[in-house]
Amino acid sequence: MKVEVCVGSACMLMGSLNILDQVENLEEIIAVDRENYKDEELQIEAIKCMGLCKVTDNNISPVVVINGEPLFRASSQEVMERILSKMRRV
Amino acid sequence: MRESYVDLVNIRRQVFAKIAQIAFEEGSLSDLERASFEILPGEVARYRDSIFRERAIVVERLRLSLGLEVRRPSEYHLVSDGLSEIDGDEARLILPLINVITHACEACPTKAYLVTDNCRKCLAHPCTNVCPVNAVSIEKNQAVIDQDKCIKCGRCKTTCPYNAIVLFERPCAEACGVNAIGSDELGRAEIDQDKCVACGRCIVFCPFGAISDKAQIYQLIKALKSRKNMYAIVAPSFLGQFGPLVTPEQIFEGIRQLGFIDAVEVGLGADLTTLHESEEFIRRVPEEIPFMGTSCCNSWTLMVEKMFPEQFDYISDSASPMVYTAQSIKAKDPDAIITFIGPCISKKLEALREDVKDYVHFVITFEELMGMFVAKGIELGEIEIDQEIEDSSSLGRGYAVAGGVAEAVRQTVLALEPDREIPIEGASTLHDCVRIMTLAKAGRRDGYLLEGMACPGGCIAGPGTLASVTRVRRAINDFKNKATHATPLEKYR
Repeated sequence: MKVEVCVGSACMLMGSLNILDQVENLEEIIAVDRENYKDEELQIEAIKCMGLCKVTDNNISPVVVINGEPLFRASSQEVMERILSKMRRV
Repeated sequence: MRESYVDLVNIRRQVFAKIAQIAFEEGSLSDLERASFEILPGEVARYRDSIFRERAIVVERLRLSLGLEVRRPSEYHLVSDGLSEIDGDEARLILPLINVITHACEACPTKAYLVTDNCRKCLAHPCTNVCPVNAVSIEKNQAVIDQDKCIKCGRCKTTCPYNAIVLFERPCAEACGVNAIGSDELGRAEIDQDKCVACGRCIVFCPFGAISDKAQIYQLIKALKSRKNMYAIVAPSFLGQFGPLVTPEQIFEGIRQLGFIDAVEVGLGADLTTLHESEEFIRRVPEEIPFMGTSCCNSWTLMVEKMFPEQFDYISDSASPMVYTAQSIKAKDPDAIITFIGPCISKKLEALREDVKDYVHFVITFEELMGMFVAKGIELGEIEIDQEIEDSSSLGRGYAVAGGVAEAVRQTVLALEPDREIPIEGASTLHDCVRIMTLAKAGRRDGYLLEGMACPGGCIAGPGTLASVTRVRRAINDFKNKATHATPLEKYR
């Protein structure tokens, strides 16, 4: 599973570094509870501005992309929930 | 900044970006109310009872970010009051620096032990048995603490087997290391400015964002547009603040693109502070003074000045890294206008000092700088630059992390006098600073070098930061390893 967190200027201003920190810390949650998670690797990447915010008047920051699907005005709890719901064994 | 206070932090940063945008685009200041609508659109309140109050608070933040005085809701004021005084290209700091926005303060109760729903009304009820003032009684549903009788010893909390008793504290008062937070007639926080040392902890910790300092970004941007001789000096904690994909060189070039002719590491001045403090320690301890305190943290030195005036002389006479860096620029360009960019709010006060004001003209934080980058549309990660930064030694770059200042001085003293003993104690919260000064005053730290820093972990945890302490610490280590010189002695001799 791949999670990309934008750390361009606009997203940084709106707290994307915090999202990155929180998502990186998920690895600890998974590590202590290994058997309840799938073996799939969690790849976390900070990415540069994709320019989406520059072509819209709407405030879309922060932007997080999960498995290729962009999430606008992302909040850390929403992002983490999506990740864990995909990674947890049912 | 407290990264987990996401919504609060975002509002504050949007205010910085908005003020910067108005300044860059020559917008009208009289339209601050419009800015509050842009920051908080719609008509549904998000966190408070009404959108009108939320916007009124944002307007107050906008005013504070312009450097204006905070208004009290009881007095008639126009939003535009005072604007003419601050509109210009010179920093004007109207004291006090740290302000409670009264209508944002929710008047949290003061310190008290409270019984929660965890209480099982148990047969043993040790809470009543350990209370020395008979303040705990068992009522119909649970234990109750008589707040008039309670002396806040905490014994009931310690003994409860269900963790049913909690200590409630106002986050602002709990964070304050010098006991400067009191209450006004409506129970809202009030800052005792005689005690306050402007460390900014209360700003960081208030969950309602009711406390704010004042900014100078508007005037700075005006100066960047009207003047040519603008220099930026950047505190050692800048590493990692602007995200993991940005190099230190890109940050410096981004700063130049804002209109500064050059950016210089404050680590350059840190090296000079190290040399001065080392020489001073060797010369004065213990003959003239029993111990010596470091001088670079302004809140620490202010605290010693206010609370331990008799020991104030024991704080090193060295200027801070900010001042030495500014002086070295002034020596080359006497007309230089110098802006300190750092994690620190207290430096805004230091820059007002008689012996500093001719060298440091503006002080802004990393968060405020981020607002400027966004307003100007600068993407740091896209900047191409091959110019290296080499103003500072490795030890100078370490000043941002607690222990770094004392370590630099210790290594330098030992290089000059290998047989010298130099015991060190560091404090890196204001509470701890007060504690080590109390011990030192009582004669229990004789011969020591005391490193005082008001922020937990050092400047990297300053109130004006963007990135987490772990991230920044890692980036600083990398940058230290890249320094051309390991120590200031190696650099200057």
